[in-house]
Amino acid sequence: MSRPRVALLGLSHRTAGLAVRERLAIPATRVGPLYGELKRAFPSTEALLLGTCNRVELYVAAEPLPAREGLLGFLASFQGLEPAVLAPHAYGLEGPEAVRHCFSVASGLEALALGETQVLGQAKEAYGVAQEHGMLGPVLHALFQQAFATAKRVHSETTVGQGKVSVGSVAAQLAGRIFQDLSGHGVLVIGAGEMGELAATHLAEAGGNLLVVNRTFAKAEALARDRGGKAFRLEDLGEALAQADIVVSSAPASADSFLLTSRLVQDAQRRRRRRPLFLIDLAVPRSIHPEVRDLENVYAYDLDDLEKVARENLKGRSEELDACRAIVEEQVAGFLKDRSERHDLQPLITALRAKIQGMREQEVARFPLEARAAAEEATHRLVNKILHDPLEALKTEGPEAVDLLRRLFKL
Amino acid sequence: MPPPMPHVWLLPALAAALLAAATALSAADLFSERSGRRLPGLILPASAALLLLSFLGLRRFPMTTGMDILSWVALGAAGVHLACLRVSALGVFLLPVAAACAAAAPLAGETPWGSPDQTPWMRFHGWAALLGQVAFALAFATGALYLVQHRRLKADPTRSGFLPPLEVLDRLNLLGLLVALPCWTGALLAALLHTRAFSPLVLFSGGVWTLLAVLTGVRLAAALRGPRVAILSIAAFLMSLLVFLGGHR
Repeated sequence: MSRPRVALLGLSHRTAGLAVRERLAIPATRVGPLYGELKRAFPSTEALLLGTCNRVELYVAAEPLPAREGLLGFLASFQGLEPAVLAPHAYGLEGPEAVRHCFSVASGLEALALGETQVLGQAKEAYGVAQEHGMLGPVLHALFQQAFATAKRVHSETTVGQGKVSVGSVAAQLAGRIFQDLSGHGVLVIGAGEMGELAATHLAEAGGNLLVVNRTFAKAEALARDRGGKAFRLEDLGEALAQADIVVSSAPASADSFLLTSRLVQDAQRRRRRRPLFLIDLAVPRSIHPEVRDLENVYAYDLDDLEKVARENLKGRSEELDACRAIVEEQVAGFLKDRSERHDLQPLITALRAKIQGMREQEVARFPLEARAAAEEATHRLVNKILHDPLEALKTEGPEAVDLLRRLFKL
Repeated sequence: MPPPMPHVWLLPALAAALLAAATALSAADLFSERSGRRLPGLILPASAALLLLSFLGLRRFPMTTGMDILSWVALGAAGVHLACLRVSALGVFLLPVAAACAAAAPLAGETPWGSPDQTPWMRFHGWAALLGQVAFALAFATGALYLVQHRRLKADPTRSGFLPPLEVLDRLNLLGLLVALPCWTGALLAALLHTRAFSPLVLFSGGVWTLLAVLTGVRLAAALRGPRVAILSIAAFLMSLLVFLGGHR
């Protein structure tokens, strides 16, 4: 029996600009349909889609693996794009490289802000969604469990998580080049999702007067109440903008229009008496119109700009990065060894289960018909309980245990 | 005239050398886009102490000769930079002025500042104009740095880390304008009361004063902000420099 292999296809802030990333952004509501189509197109393939504002990656495990071009074509057609649009920016990894990349991503080593933990939460959420849709099998399950363990080690054993660890903190760093400090400045957070909440927490802690705008007003109210801020309806965005010096938007633009247009910002600037206005667009697709950048006394940035600043922050942190990469390598080696051993043991485990299962079925057949269902359930549970410890020991005890089991059960 | 005593020229010369070293460090910081060197913070008090010691050697009130005035300007520029040390890039503008004045002070020697028959109005004019020009220089320097930071923030935010925040530069620029305006007003009125005539120099000075007054007014009314104020501050300072140099040839 050949062993299922892991692969991934994706694009990220390192390979594609925002303009491409926002075309491949798959909203949460469309992940279910994507998995449905994926099951039809690639049956017997485990899959997990990791979509963040900086990356879209499709992890798969199967034997044989689907062709890279096939996966690329699938993703492109799902988004109504030509594969040629994505091809120059997409990367495909297989085997150990894919495992290493997965662990690095979960640990925040591939993140815009080195060591950020937000991506770990997003990976866990993606894992939950994939599991919910029945897309996970033993390989991706083990891969992501090990990825979460790797991230935990990286954050607890190194100092990589200290310093500029989130997009919010990089945004605050950039704001510090315009304002002496945030205290007394109006900080408008557009979008009360996870990213908006993180930004709100960071900026409110830095002393900013928090203003929250959200499409669902109740969410804006809840976030503003928690952080001692003020909530606005989306229709009152102009009013909120006039009271703000710093704007962080994480609410993606709708298909036909940007949330912050040049005219809206110009109107606000007149009311703000042209004080410098700092805008950060964390949304994918972008919510701030590119023309806003050209306005006087307006300093607008998007994720690509934050990426550049974050890359600058990385300089001089190579020792820390080396320590993180060493942990990742250890975890990759552990994972691959574990997979290899599990694969070598699989025929023995299958044979043992089949033998016990046969005995169980024989015994259940002796029960009267009316008691058979209950007996079936009870014996099934019993067999699983009896086999659990020996099978776990088999994975850890080495060749002696394997020989013993073969002899004991005549396998 | 007897040659000056060694300590009278030696101490300002040493101060000038230290200030030149601090200038070089500030320039190196600006071009390498690094910040946080502590050396200028140590050099500036040392050079200020040398200049004050040279005053003690004079055994008279140090406000009567060209040497005195240049030493005070050097002390003022170094003091302003010391007060705004966090805005280390300001050193590129202020420290060369301080170094040049400290170096020139012994050369100016005991020549009296202005003619001996100067009226009190003209003495007042001299001091007000000098103070106004230092404040104007601060507005000029912060305006220039504002433009650099503004362009960096617009074009490439990764290169904007070294310079101080726009907000700080804007405040210092406003402070410079707010000090320069009353000084220039006083200096201009004193000159008018002394000459009682509208010479071309007085008329040109009036033009610079009008520009300064309008600039300060619109900045306070917040009708004009950011790079436009910075550009006007630079232009107004350069014009004021023409007046200053023209009036004190």
